[in-house]
Amino acid sequence: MRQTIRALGWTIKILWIITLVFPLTVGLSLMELVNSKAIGFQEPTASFSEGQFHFSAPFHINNTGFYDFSDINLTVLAEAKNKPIARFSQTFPKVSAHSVLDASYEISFSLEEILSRNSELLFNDLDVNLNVSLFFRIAYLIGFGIASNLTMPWGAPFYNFSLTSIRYNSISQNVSVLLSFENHAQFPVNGTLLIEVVSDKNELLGSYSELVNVSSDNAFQKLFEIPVEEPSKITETGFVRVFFESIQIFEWEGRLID
Amino acid sequence: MTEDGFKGFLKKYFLKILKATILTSAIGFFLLLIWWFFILGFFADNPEIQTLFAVLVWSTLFFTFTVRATEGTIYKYGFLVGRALFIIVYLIYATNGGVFSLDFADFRFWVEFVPLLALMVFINILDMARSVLQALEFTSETPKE
Repeated sequence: MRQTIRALGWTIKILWIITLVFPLTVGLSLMELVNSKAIGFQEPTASFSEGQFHFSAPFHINNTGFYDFSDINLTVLAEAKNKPIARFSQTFPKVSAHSVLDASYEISFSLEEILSRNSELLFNDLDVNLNVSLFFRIAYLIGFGIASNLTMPWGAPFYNFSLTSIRYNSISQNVSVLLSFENHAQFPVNGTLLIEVVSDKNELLGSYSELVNVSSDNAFQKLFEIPVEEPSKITETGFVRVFFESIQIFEWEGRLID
Repeated sequence: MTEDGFKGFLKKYFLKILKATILTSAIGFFLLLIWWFFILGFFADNPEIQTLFAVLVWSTLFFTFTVRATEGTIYKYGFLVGRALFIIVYLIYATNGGVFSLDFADFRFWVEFVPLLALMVFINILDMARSVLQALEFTSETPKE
């Protein structure tokens, strides 16, 4: 029995040493990572084309520590005025000890998604709350997480959007529409703008499409002359619908004829 | 009680209790230093961590004293088993099952160390088993009165 007790004693001592030394070496690994500035970011890029918003932030991790990093995950939860907008989550491949990971954090979402969740983002400048959380595991055993709330100003791509001077000209058989907006977003508004004139019976009277390219912090204003194909179908009141990249972004309702 | 009996009692118990008190005081002083310089320094605004540390301090002092004071009796092993059991429960409760989180300024940090916690629980189970064996050995070697 004495031998068993002694063996158990030694086992307990060795296991305690492992339990205490292991977190210390993990801590040293983390210190090594922080002190050597092993994590670096490059200039992020944002673009908007074909109704898709795309954000890319390249970065690198040089793991100079003793252990592998695994389960690296970055999650961003975006909300504006307490309404959730989007959730982005990306998991990166493991970074073995003494190796470098070159990766990029990619965010991609469509205009349709924004509209369905919060249409205000298209027309009003807002403060977007971002809940950013990063998680990774060291030596496949100990997981570390860090989360924070950030506020990011969002510039609306169709700020101050308006349709004015909407009138039917019986001589030229055109409906004139003055469309204007300012692009407050960080990316250019580049795509096909489609304007449809619809009678109060919901019949399409005429449409016009044009490729627009409005760079950041620029205004757009244009008078569109939309030909009415069948003037007999014109009604006193009607609708003007505006589509951007085949997604309806605005609808006006009012008098077409004075 | 005769004079010799009283002296025997003093020799047997008073010295044990004195030794236990000195050792407990020394450990208490060391834990007080940790309280002053570490806990109050870094977690002054976190009463939860302060309470958890206080529970750890008082239980450490209690078990140090009782184990020392009951040296040479079967009760010592009872307290050793109790200590290991307490550590298991305390570790699971204090670490929230191996996920420890902390709010600091605008950030929230958390550490997941479930495998390490499992190892610590296993060590304490081994410690309990050893204490039970030591108790059996003690009873087998102690002559019946």
